[in-house]
Amino acid sequence: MINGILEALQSCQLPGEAIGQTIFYLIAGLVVAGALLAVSLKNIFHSALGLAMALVSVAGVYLYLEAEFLAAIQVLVYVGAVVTLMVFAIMLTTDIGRSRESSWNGQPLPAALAAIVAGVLVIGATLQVARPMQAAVTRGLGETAAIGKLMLGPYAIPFEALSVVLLAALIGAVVIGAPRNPRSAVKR
Amino acid sequence: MIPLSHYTVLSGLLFAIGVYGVLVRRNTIGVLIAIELILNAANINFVAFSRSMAPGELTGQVVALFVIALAAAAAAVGLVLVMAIYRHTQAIATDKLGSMKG
Repeated sequence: MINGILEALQSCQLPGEAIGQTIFYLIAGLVVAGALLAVSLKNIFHSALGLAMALVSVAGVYLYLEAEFLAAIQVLVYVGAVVTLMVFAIMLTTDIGRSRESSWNGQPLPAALAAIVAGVLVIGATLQVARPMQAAVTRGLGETAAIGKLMLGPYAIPFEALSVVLLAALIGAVVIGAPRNPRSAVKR
Repeated sequence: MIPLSHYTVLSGLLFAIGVYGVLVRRNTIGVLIAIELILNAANINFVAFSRSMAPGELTGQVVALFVIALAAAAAAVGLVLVMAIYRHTQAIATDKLGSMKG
């Protein structure tokens, strides 16, 4: 449906295209604002919520790149799983709101300098190789099927390696996370 | 249509903010949050360049999917490590974890 709306916006004359572009810049602003909140808020729980905001907005950017399947996966895996996991870890490890400890290591200036240098280098490098966008190839819902064929065709070996990595992460998480002495854990 | 350069500038901004977060945070979970931002910046570039240079092929999206899966695995293992360390030392600040001894 969103794709349809975008297509309608793109096929319109100038006003529709202008609206589509304005919405893109709004979404881009939300990405940057969410990221800034995620790195600058004192309360780490609020930072996780800022991260969720940035990740949902990145899904919006994927919609503009005609990657609908990726946008859905972004919301499902990142916002649904990773952020939830982080919120769990925050609740289990820190006293939210009661902690007197600082969230920062007191080096904002060197960090900002390094970040600006890194950002300028990346933006400069990518702008040098940026070419004009080519015309879209409309696939509609066939896109997801094409991704599935790629994953089980040319990318089958990376795909299988990835499933081994996920299995290793699962086992590793259980082994590291399980208490040393199960009986003492039950008592607590 | 949004030009490719706007996507790459957005991605670069997200990357710079993520680098700043990794360097400035004292809370280990805060560092993990900033790493997720960096991975998303890379993903935006993958998809945008793939869309710009080869619209018919979906290679960039497939790579982005791999990155998302690896990021999820990394977040799970990282957070479990944080919780295991917290059980030992009752602290998750990066400057208090100077020793690997329990």
